[in-house]
Amino acid sequence: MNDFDIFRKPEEMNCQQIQDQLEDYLFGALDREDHARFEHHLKSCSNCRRIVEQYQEVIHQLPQALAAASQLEAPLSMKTRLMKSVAGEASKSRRPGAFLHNGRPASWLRSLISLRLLTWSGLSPVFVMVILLVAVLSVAWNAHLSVALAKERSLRAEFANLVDQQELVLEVIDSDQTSRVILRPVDQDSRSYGKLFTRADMPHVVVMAARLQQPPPGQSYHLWVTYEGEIQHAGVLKLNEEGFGLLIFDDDQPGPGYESVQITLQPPDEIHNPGKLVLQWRGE
Amino acid sequence: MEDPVLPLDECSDQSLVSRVCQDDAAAFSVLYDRYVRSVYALAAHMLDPQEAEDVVQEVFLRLWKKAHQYQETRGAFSTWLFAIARYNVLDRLRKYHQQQRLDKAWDIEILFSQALSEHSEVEEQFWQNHIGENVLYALSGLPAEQRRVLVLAYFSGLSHATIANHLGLPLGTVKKRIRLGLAKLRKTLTRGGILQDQEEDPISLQNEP
Repeated sequence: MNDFDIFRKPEEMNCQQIQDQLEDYLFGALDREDHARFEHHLKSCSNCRRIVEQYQEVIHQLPQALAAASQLEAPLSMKTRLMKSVAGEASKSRRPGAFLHNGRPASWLRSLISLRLLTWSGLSPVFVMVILLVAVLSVAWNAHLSVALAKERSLRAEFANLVDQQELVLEVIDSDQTSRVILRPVDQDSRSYGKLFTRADMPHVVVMAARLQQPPPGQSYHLWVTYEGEIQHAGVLKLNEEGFGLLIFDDDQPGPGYESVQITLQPPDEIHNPGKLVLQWRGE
Repeated sequence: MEDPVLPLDECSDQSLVSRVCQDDAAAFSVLYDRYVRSVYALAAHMLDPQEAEDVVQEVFLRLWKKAHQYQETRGAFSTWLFAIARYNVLDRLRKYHQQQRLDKAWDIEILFSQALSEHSEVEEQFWQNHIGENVLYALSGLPAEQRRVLVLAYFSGLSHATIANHLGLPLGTVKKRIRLGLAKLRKTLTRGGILQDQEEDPISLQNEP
């Protein structure tokens, strides 16, 4: 069996079989193949999908009943810690103010303001020039330090993320619950290919592509998935010098089943419409 | 979105989630207060305290980062959040032995039994003050054997075959009890206004005792 034979279309389930296996599905007790067949049916049968969603609402009321019966209370310190993390996440997505440090004017600016307010009237023009020169040098030095610190923070975060991701990749691609599909090149002369891995019991999705050409300047490889007829941008592949690309993302449900998967070439910021198609897989 | 002048703690979950999608930490804080007790109870009754705190942290950080993945058309926000929480708990439970998982789920079943017996003579109205109490009330309407298999299956995350083996019952009996328990629970929760009223019950109740 070669890689291209691995993904086979699952045998269709009918509505009666869905009813028969409903509770197994709800509690995550189906094996990988049946889980995939079950989800395959749900995609095309709105009636069964509605039933499943109704019963998911029932079983996930149980934590609220447990909270009512339990004496356990979440420690208050947890919220403080969480809100700090949230504030940190929020600040990452915003450009820090060039004249602010921890929400206050930078120290050089405070010094300058202070000097100006206290002694401005008695200063000679030469002394003012010296102060301004010192201020400009201070700005440049602060900017240099900020860039260096930001770079170091970013590298540390990336390293920590990589360690976490390695473990996640192993979990997703190598288990008896793993499903994978093969992405083939659109250009018949191309030797590039890709694989998308999912696990029936996890929402994580791992995508790898190999033998990709280095993208032209200003372009990146993007992943798009189609679910219920709607195409969605899933992320941008990280590419190494050997043309190996990797992307890990989370779907909103375990064992997501897609109708098609595409890798395209386009500018990094263009996430609304797919660009030039490079690799693809289509379910039957 | 709802009236923008409505205080945050009176906003619907959906409205708060929309705000979280726009990095609104205050809306996130309200959702945390609304659901942390349930997420923590789910985690802390099955895992050790440190792991439980880690689960809460991960679940709510995921809410903060991935709120846009919640789709209102696919069910209530609480269903989405608790599915993530249960997944996180079960992921950590994989390193526990089956017997440990069953023991912890049994402790929860005992907790439910005690809570239900302590309040068995109280008026139904008492239970309807909060959603959790309303769900407890709905659980009290189930025969104990149906409630037991539901609780063991949901909290331990073990297969129905394992649970059948543990209880010394045929697999078919366990499945039937889960099915009947779910159907009854849904009926009571719908009557209590916790779930939206739907068309006729899709699961056959022909064999209901």
